Amino acid sequence: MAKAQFTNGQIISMVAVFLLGTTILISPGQNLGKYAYLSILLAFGLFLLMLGFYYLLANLEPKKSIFALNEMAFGKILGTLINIFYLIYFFVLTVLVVANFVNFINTTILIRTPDMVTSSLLVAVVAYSVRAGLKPLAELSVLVLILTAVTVVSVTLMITEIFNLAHFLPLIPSDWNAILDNTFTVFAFPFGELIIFLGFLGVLGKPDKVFKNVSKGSFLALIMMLLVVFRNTLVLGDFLPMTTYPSFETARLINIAQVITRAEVFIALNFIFNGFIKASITFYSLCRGLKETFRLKSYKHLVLPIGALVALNAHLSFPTIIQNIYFNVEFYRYYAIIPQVILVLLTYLVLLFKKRSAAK
Amino acid sequence: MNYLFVLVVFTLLFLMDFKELQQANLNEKIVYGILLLAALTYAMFFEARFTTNSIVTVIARIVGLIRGISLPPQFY
Repeated sequence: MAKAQFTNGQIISMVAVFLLGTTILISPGQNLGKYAYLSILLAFGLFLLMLGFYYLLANLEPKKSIFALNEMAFGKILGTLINIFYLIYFFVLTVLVVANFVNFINTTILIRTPDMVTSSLLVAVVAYSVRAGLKPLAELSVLVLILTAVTVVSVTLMITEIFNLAHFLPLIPSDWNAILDNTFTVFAFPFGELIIFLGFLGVLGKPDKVFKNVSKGSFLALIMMLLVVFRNTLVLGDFLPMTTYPSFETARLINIAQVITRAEVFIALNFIFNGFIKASITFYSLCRGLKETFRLKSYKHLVLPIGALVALNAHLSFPTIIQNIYFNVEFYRYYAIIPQVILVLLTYLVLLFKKRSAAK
Repeated sequence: MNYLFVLVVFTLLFLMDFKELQQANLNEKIVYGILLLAALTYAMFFEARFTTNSIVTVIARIVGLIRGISLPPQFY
């Protein structure tokens, strides 16, 4: 079977859609209100630094995934243990994406539908797409990115009449500690989650090409993220931290001559598509990780049992949206920092040391 | 009735994978068996109200323990 080739556009789209996945609805740094953009910019700076390390790590052994690199760096036993830690993180991330999706559907659209039904249906679709491989997902993500960009821009244009620039005043924040604290949260979600791509880097192509496109995709995601945050702040102002889904609430206020109203459905559709792509990419990376760690020929027959575990965990994770937000703010970042930063740096340093000692 | 439903769902999942499993090696069959049995057991425990924990809850508990945060009872 010929190896799938990924175009630059497909990699850029996948990265952008992955980063925008849940953030299109749940604004990063939302509790900072009008200063959320500052924490997003700072977190993006941190992310670029980490992306540099990811690039250096990938360049040490091109075409190898993070799982293979861990085994090379730490040996078979410790490497497998670290890989299992990564697999748990990838599993948790898939569960969180599905849980966010289920929370949103059950809070705003299908209020009386049991969440088990929503999560099972989503996971079934995601599992089906993961069995088909990464190529169809990459092709779909181009379309989803265009759809997302059109929605973000058109919703922003439709709501300009109620923009209030005074919502940004005072321009200079008084509490920089809160901003720095939030930077940590915004880095962990969504920027640091891009570590998922290290799970199947070899599939996408050479590190040079991939990382060039990953940077382009993340810049594109940053621009759209900032556009969403600025729009929501200009419309909602001080109410921004009090809303659960600011983009959804903003789009609800669109009213053009009593004809164009209820535009929030576009935001919901956007989230559904982006969430689907994000869940599929995390699920795919998890399956590939299992394949590499346990040296299997194929991952395809693992998809359904893992899917069942994801659906059950997503159902039990957050009975309400408040638990979801509480988890993201108080717990997630402390857990995610281990695979996103600490272990990656450790793997890079050990591999670098081993390479240099071998060269001497 | 609910337990029967869970069993039927997991049997269907198994039957969907059966063709591919026949071509799989022992290693693959073992990993598949562990995952399917884990999912089935978890589903049964969930149905019996024996567990309300998920992996996310477990992580929250561990991080909470390390950070010295006691989770509010209405949360978990």
